[in-house]
Amino acid sequence: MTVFVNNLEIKVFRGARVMNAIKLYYSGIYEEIPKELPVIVDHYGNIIDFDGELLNLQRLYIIDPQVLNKADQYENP
Amino acid sequence: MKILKFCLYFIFLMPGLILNAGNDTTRVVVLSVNDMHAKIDNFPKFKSLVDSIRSVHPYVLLLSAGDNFTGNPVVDQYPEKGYPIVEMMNLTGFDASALGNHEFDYGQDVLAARLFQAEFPFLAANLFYTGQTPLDIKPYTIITLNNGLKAGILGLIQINEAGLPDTHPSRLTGIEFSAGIEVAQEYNWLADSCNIFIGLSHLGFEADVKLAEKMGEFDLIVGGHTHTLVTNPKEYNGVMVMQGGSGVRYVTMTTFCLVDKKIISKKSQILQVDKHSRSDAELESLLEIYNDNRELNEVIGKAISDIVGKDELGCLMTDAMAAIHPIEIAFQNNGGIRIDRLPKGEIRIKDVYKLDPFGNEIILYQMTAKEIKSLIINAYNRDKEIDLQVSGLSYTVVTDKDGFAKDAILTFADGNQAIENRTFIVGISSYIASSYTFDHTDEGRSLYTITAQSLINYIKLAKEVDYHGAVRAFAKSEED
Repeated sequence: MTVFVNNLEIKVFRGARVMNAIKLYYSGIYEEIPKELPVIVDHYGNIIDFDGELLNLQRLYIIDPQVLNKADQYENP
Repeated sequence: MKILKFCLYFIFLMPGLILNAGNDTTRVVVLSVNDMHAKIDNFPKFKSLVDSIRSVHPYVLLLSAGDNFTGNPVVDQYPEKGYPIVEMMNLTGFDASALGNHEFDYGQDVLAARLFQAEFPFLAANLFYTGQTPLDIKPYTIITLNNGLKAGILGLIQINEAGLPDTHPSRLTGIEFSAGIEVAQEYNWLADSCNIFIGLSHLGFEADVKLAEKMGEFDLIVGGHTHTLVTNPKEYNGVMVMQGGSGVRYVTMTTFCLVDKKIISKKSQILQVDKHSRSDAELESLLEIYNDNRELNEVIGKAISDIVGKDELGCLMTDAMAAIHPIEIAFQNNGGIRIDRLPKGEIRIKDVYKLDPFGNEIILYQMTAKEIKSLIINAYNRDKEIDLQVSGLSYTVVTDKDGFAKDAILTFADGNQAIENRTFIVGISSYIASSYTFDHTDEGRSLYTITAQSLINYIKLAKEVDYHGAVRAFAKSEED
């Protein structure tokens, strides 16, 4: 199936997860995956887990983890 | 004086009573989790968080958007596979769960037993029985709250490009599936029958947004599958669409305000389970029992002799993969072999997870011999050494004077060498599939079986294994 990472088209096996697409993306641009794992967001700006299951034609974007640590902002009642 | 009091009462209090008559304001809270994947460790805190909300709000619905199973050996290897999380969900008081694709991972008979034990319904409207199946899945449920308000909940399950949920097709016999977004529209009448209409979806976030845009009748869609953490809750076509990551780390909380049984406002937020300071004592005790690892101590077979080093262990692991139909050739990378030795004697489930702890799935490719060679050569050239263990053939890498692989000779058990254009069904781990460069025209597909499970099945079936001296991958210099 096909997904897009930072607008780059990635062909990935059926049943792949976010981490599989991200590895293929870095491999495709000849870079190592950063030691501090990047944050992945979807087309709507939501954070997606690395083990999230992919949908065909899904769009993923890699962002700097320093920029976003939204999880810390939630306040439980 | 009595008359004066009555007049004052009439002047100051009655208008309020008149305004309140017909102004029946109620708050209903919908809590949801999704893609729990058998992660029971957070349940004591999670239940305490839910209970604390119930102590403040009288009308609370607790939902799971599916994929409750698969992802924790304590639950997956339990004698009644999946039961621990069903028990915890029962004790936490779930009202309904969507049927996720991974609910099928243990097979239909096991799922049927879990459905029977669950004190809440599993929902999916877009599946149809074509043969005999033991499953009791309902398309929707209507929950009537103590105050008479009704919540209609419609379940939907994901299907892939092949029209099936992401699990092994052999687990789906006797069931057909259709597109969730299309089927959902047949149930829009539920909106008129209920005060709150909820989509309990395992379609994935992007699909949930599409569903919302097609069906404004929903008040809320709580979803799963893509493990999306909705950081900024938003309405699409007037429908709030929520999803809370995975692994019971987050809970979505949507609060509806109803006046005269009509929704006048809704607000969604994400709660973080870890940040809740209290923990449920009953579930803590239960968790301790489950994590006692008795299941992981189960003896599944016996090693006739020590299984030592990457070659012997790699042969065992790839033989286990190749034992799955229709795999002819299987590969395992050395980096995924995490122990040096499997000692002679009893083999326990926990030994398998030590050997293969990563949860990689088996991916099938139809590959020509030429493509297989490209996989072997590229893997060798990562560090100029043998990196792939194999079943179904043996191979010899031929290196040039700089130590780089320039060719690979493939040899089958009968001594014959592979014909370049013949195709084979090859099984490799998802790690290799996504991290290694190799030629392939087939896009590949997951078997939705982790390599560790293939190994457990293989050893259980074989009862005894002997890999003393097994070596199938060689290298030689072209100058030799």
